[in-house]
Amino acid sequence: MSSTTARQYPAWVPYFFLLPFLGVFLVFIAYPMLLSATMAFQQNAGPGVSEPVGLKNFTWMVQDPAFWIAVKNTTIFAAASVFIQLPAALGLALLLNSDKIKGRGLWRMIFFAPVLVGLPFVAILAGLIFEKNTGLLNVTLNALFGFDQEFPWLQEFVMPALIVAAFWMYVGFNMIYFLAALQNVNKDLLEAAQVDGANAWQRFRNVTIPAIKPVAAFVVLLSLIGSFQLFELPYLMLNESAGPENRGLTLVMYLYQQGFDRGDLGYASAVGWVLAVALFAFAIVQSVISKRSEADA
Amino acid sequence: MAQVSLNQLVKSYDGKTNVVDGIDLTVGDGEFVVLVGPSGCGKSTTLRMVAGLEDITGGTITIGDREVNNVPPKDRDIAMVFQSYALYPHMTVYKNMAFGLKLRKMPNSVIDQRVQDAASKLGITHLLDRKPKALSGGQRQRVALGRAIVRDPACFLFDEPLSNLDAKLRAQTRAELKQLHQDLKTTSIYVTHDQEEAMTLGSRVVVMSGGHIQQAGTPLEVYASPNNRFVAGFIGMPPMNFIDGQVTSPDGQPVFEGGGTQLALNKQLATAAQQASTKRVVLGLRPEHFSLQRDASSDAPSIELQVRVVEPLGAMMDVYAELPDGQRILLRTEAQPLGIDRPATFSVAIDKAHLFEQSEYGKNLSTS
Amino acid sequence: MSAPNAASTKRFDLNMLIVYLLLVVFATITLVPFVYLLFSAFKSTESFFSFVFWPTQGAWYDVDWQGFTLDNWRTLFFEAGIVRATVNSFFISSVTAILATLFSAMGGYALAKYRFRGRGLTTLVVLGSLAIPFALLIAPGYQLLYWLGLLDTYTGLILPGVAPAFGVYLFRQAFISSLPDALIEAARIDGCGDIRIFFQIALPMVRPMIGAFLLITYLATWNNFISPQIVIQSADKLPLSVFVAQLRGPYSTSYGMIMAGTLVAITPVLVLFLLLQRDFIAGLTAGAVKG
Ligand SMILES: Nc1ncnc2c1ncn2[C@@H]1O[C@H](COP(=O)(O)OP(=O)(O)O)[C@@H](O)[C@H]1O
Ligand SMILES: [Mg+2]
Repeated sequence: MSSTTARQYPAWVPYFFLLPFLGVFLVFIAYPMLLSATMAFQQNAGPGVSEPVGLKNFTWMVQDPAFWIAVKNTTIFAAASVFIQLPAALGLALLLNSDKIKGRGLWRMIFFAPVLVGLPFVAILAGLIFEKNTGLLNVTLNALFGFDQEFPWLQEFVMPALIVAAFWMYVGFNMIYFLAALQNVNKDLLEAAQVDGANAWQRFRNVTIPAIKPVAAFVVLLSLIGSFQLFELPYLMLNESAGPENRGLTLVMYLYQQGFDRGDLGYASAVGWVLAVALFAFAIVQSVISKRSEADA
Repeated sequence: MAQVSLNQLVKSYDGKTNVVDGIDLTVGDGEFVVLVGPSGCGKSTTLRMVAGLEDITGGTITIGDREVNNVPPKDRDIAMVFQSYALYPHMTVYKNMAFGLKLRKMPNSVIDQRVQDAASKLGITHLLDRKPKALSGGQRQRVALGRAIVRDPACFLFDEPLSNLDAKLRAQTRAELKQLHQDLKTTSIYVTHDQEEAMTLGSRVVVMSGGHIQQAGTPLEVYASPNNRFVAGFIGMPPMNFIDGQVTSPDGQPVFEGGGTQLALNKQLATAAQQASTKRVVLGLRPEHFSLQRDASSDAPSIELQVRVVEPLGAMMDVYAELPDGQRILLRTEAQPLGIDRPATFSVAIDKAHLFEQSEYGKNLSTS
Repeated sequence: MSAPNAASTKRFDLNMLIVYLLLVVFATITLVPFVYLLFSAFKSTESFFSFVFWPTQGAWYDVDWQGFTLDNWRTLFFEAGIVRATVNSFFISSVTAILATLFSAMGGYALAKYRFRGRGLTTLVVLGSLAIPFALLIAPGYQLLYWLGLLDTYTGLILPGVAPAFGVYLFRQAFISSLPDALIEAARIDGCGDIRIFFQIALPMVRPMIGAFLLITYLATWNNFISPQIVIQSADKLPLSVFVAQLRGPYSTSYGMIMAGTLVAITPVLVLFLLLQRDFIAGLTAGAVKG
């Protein structure tokens, strides 16, 4: 402002601290995004050769049955995550939330362990467990229930197998979020409701649910983002393929096939943008819904 | 040691309003000056400009004979004690105190000598190996003081260093601070919102409001001869009573008419009233300048009030009483029996009363 | 008074029984694959096909010790070259985690504690980047690495991930909530320069976040499959994720060896978790706290 300033530090200091982030962001995030916006209108034969094709990538995409299979599979998987896995995670968290439970730390650790295995290794392990002839699952089912049938999980029931594997891996992980959220529940309020004569369900509905809503909304969004970028689980469970008749094809796997198996990075960029716009739409819908429910409260 | 001068010091955060608005102040070598004023009046901002923690919008600051406007904090030869103490939580008390000296590349033997000296002066030698988390509030406060002392700076800056302590500890530490200053005689600038702290600690008290200095003077000066109505109301506990009214002389004898009653004035106040730009003035009476009238023939002016509430304080008592027009005022007198909801007559030390112009910062007519 | 109390205690016991029953069922389902993995890694191909868990001679308790073998491990270590892949994984994950933590902390510190031109814009960029899906960057990122000549290099694999917006955001929040301005000012008056303030005063105040972020970045890099799959081509540069997946190619019949490889790959992370459980969970839930 004026010439009389008592500079506490040289003006470059904050920029120095931000330099690594800004550098990496500009080169490896911002530039690729711009690049991808132009590549989406090109066709490639390998990374070196490109040719402008206008909107053709997008028109091809909507005409490609494989794309729609990928959309369908991805949507089914996302729905299963939100409507099956997350409620189960909340249920587990509620079971573990009472301080009357002995060894809570141990239970928590057990349920949390699968996420540590990591997606590629869960996928490899699941591939062996769901194996038709010798896999753990069929052998166990046969032993327990006397089936003589061998379920062709990785051939006929690909989506159920994927959903089960993801459930195994992530249910305990999401439970941790809900357990943290349950710490926000006001114990006095629960007791007050009990004194007022509210039954267990009414207390859950009117005290617990509102308290965990913000975290729940966050976990739903996280699950959707994760689900829509599903790749490693089916890719490695199905031995680096999309399975018979593309039964395990997801959007990112479609992107990968187009970009790296077919070598058309332009087309892959177009798929990437479709995915990004879908995720962006989810984020907006989610924030609108959570804003509205905040206004109601 | 050094003298600190602020010349036409201005600070604006947004470029529009000045939160410090042209302050002139010279703190003499070895002086202990207290900046006091209500919250938000710009005390901390002023102090932080002296420390170099805020850019100066206008004016100059000199420490010793050096203008420091463009000198970074570490080179200003000052030490600061923060309200939150700002001790480094991951360092022991010893390291907290030694940190500034280490950075100045002093030999370890000198550092150790200084830390030990300061620690014994403050009685915290047994705490040197502890981390701040393991200390009580009072102990942390001492470590913060110690960190300032070891630096042996030209000037100490204090920003509300006692406000996180409980009342008893605050009074005790206040006395110790005073003792410390008497020993070290380091120039000090001390910021507080507590007028009692200001009065007891400062060799000079600077009353601030709205980014301006309202008055600077010894504790007695600001108490006995406030420049304006703001200073009069801010300094002194319980605060001064203000009664709106006007000065007339119906039968040659000057009287103050206000609150539904009349009070005889002395000559000095009568002359003062003539200087007022408007007819309406404000009479200021401190609670301690009333006393219960025993002898009706006394020639001190007196006033009849309706007693409402009495709060005994031991030797003294606080009396909440009503003027005839219903306005409540507070008196502090010697404790004696008094009937509730009954009238009583009090004599007024009219020589100690003040007349002010009517605004919030209305000037004191009786001292000018 | 006492009668209803006794009744509720009794009903409460039944509830607890159901709760524990559910927990045990869930825990069994969770743990069985681990047990399966453990046994399979030590079984010959023959007993892998014949027995789900341990090989027996008739009754389940009659363990057939001849069915166990160390062959899988021998092939894995001496022929397939898992040692190299493990070292690669350690290297890639350590470098990524350390740099990402350092650079995220630096960026977050600047945004939290300095006022400078462009701060608002940069904060907006950080928040905006959180919404960019990784999938969008796959194709153009590959193209860029191709142009830069960074395909099949660790630089190309590591560099794009060393300053994640997510980390900058987390550290910004951490510095705002646990580093008081007065501490920085005190250090400044003590004579501390800005770089030293960052390392000696600021970083120690966000220690829990440093631990948590190191761990999540380490875990994420260790378990990353798609990036090395795309970027790395030479077999001797592969990390464990791609290496183990590729075991199914040339050695496809050896299920036991794949299991052993998986065990090698997941053990370090499991051990790390057991050692640092609390940091880990704090790190993974850090994002949710903002609600
Ligand atoms: N960093 C800042 N940005 C904008 N305004 C500020 C800032 N710091 C203080 N202020 C404003 O300046 C005025 C004086 O503040 P301060 O000096 O802290 O008052 P106090 O006398 O209570 O110490 C207040 O109105 C405050 O709101
Ligand atoms: Mg202040």
